[in-house]
Amino acid sequence: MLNENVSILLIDDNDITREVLRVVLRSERYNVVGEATDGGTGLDMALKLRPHIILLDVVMPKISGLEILPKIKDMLPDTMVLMVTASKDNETVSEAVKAGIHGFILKPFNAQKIIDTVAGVAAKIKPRN
Amino acid sequence: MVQAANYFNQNFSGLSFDQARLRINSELRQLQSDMTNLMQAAVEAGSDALAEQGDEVVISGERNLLNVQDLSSNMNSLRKLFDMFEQKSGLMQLLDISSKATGVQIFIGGESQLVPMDEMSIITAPYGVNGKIVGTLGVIGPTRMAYERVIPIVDITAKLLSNALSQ
Repeated sequence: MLNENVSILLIDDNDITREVLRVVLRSERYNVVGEATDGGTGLDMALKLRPHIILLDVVMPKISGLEILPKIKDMLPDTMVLMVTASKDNETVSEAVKAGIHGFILKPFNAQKIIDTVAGVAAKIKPRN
Repeated sequence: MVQAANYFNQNFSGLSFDQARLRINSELRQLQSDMTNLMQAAVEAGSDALAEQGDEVVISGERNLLNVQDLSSNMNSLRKLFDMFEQKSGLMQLLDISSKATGVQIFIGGESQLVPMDEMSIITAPYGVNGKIVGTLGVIGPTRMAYERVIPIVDITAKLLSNALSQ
């Protein structure tokens, strides 16, 4: 699938983090279709936009990324979810893996690693009818 | 062709041909100037490091940060910023991490404990000679900086410098 046909939703409460992710992804012509600043809005947008990939922050006010992850997995089983986190602690990683995460984007950001990680999951996207 | 059309639609819609041409010329001049300054700083850093083994970090243009509203309005932030430039140990740690990575690293203040101040971000990229990393160049600015512009400038400058040093 061409990068411009891969739709991506960003869910992160930090404006700067979202901006950096958007800039890096758009430099590779990925289609960033929406951005949400909290888990609740993110879940609503995910259901409405049905993106191929979601980049999901772990720590957010109100509803965390880990809280909405099972709902995303349940309602959008074909959507690939990448966790955006600065944390490498075992508990967060194992909780996310158990919840069915497809990969991690670690902070501080490395532009090439972001691109490689997204390309890796984009290659596994199932075609939609 | 499609990519070029998208780029033009996104950046120049509503402008006459002459206006678009003037804007492209102006942006190219600015881009060339930014990259020249950054590359010059990196070359100076390399020369200085060779001349004085102790001084491995070269900072230039730091006074430009005085013109940044987010930073200059807070005396405490400014003091911390210039302390950091003076001590350099925090920057050294960050540049060291960057030199071990491939390509552009983005350190966002408040998000990374490596950045000494919440109000600033640092974009870095390593450069090398014949495939061996010999240094890291970067741009320090307020967290609200033009990432769309700075990330490619740092990336391209590091690649051009590596090419120039390797020939």
